[in-house]
Amino acid sequence: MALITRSVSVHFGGVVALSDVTIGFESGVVSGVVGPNGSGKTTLFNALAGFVKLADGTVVMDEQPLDRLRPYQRLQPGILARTLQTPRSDPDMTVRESILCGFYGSLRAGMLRSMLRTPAVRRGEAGARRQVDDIIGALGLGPFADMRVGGAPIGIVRLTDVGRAMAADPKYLLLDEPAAGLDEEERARLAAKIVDVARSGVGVVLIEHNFPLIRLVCDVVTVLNNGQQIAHGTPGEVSREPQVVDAYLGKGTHESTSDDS
Amino acid sequence: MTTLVKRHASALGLVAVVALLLIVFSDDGVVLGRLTTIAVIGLIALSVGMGWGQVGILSLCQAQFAAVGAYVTAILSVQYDWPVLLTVVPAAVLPMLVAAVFGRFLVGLSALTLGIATFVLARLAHIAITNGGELTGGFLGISGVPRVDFAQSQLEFAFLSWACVLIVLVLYKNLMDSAFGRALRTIRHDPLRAEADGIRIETLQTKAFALTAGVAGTAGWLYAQFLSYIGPDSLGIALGISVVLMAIVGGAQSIVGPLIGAAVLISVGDYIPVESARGMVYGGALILMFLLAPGGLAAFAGFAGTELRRRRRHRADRSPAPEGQEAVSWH
Repeated sequence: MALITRSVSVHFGGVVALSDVTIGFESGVVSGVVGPNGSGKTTLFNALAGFVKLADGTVVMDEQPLDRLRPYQRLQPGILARTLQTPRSDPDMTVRESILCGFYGSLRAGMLRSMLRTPAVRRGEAGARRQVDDIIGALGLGPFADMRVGGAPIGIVRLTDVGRAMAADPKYLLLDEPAAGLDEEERARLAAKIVDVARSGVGVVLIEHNFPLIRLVCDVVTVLNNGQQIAHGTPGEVSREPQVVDAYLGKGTHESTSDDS
Repeated sequence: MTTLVKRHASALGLVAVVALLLIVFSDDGVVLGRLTTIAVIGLIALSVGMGWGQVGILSLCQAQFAAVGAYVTAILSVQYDWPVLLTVVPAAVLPMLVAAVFGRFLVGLSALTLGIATFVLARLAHIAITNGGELTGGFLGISGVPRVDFAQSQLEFAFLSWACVLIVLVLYKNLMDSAFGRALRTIRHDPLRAEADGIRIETLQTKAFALTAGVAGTAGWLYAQFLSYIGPDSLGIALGISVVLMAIVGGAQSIVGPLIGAAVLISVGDYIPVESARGMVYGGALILMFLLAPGGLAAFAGFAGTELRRRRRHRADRSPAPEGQEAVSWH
């Protein structure tokens, strides 16, 4: 069971954002995607989720091609969920409400039943709210739960987005730099939850700049540079490859990656 | 029970105040008439507020949806002897069907184009009605529309009108508190975020737009009974614009806002006998609102501006900016 890009290329006018990228992200596994800014990581997510047109190649999930499906069709329970590179949450909603929005795919009753607030609708809302509480607990968002998103620290806003994506109950979870803006304790909690989610059978794909986090949670890492895949393997393996060190970490820092704490 | 009351606090509060007024002024025909007018026109203003506040559609044809409801009521009860109570169903549903058909095309348009499109629809409706021959009574309209059995007197009909308002407000609030409502809020805030939530934007917006037409149609059902007459100019262009002002002055996004706006503008307007002067007052009220509630103006103008920009940007490329360029946050 895997989410696969096969020979995917994406062009933005004259700019080649992704070039012939073939990667398989397995379910139940945490896969990392790393690379310098501009290497095509978020474009890869956009390709997986259907937000960009593919110049070449195809996206396949569990043997089913996704190419015909529009983003809203791919981002459904049992398929994909993603965080956005910049959180675009409504600042007037609370953290709790934002995560609750993630349950749209599983809750959406029709307009009439919602207006009448039928018992089924009420049960669905109550159930979703309980699950939101679980997510809030797991991600340590308790103190911020009823705070306006607009007033919350950026790290918390990003974490809320992660919660929202988890709420969508996907088969494959795409997290775009979820640790940005988090302190050590928050990162540790996030890491634990990511591993948890993967253990439950979800394929987690993680874009991150924070290599210690990658080492901690990822079973496998793909390195991108200039839209091309330049390495693939365990975090330890790729961190030792010279082209990765040069491209990602700069020449001469070869030693510092091996003994990061 | 208490959560029910809490959820619908503003609606219950508003209707409680009105109920009190109805009881206190139960003998005063003028006051009863004005309160009924506020309910009926207020429902049309509410439908504008729902469209603009929740869906981002500034519709200048809501009065025409009400007219459809009113004509359906009149035709079925006067020409086909339907019991008036039953006519509420087609009066609400037929405008919804019309809105669903046009909505598919409207929701993809930019705000300004959409407003103009609804204005064109309003004109077309007027033409259709005046050329409806025997069915719509042409320029003469249809008179003799009866009231429901249990709401014959001024006071009873006033209570019926406000009971309808309460029902609509309760259903509206329920909708906004559901996944559907949250999805509308998300679409309004950022279509990209909505797409990422798995929301099918055009479908939801069309459905919500159809709902606003249903609310307007219900107002039309009340209107036809209230005046026992409906003509091509009863619910016309001028009213269509007035209800937009009412919704904005009162607060388009709030549940009871448009009704408050209707109450204010209708009450003030009643003291101005000259029709053209009323327009001045309505416009003045709009300006006053902008001056006294700068937060409201900023939110409104900011929303309209960012909505336009977002729709253009969202349609231009259905993706966030290429990597390395942080998408600008419009918060």
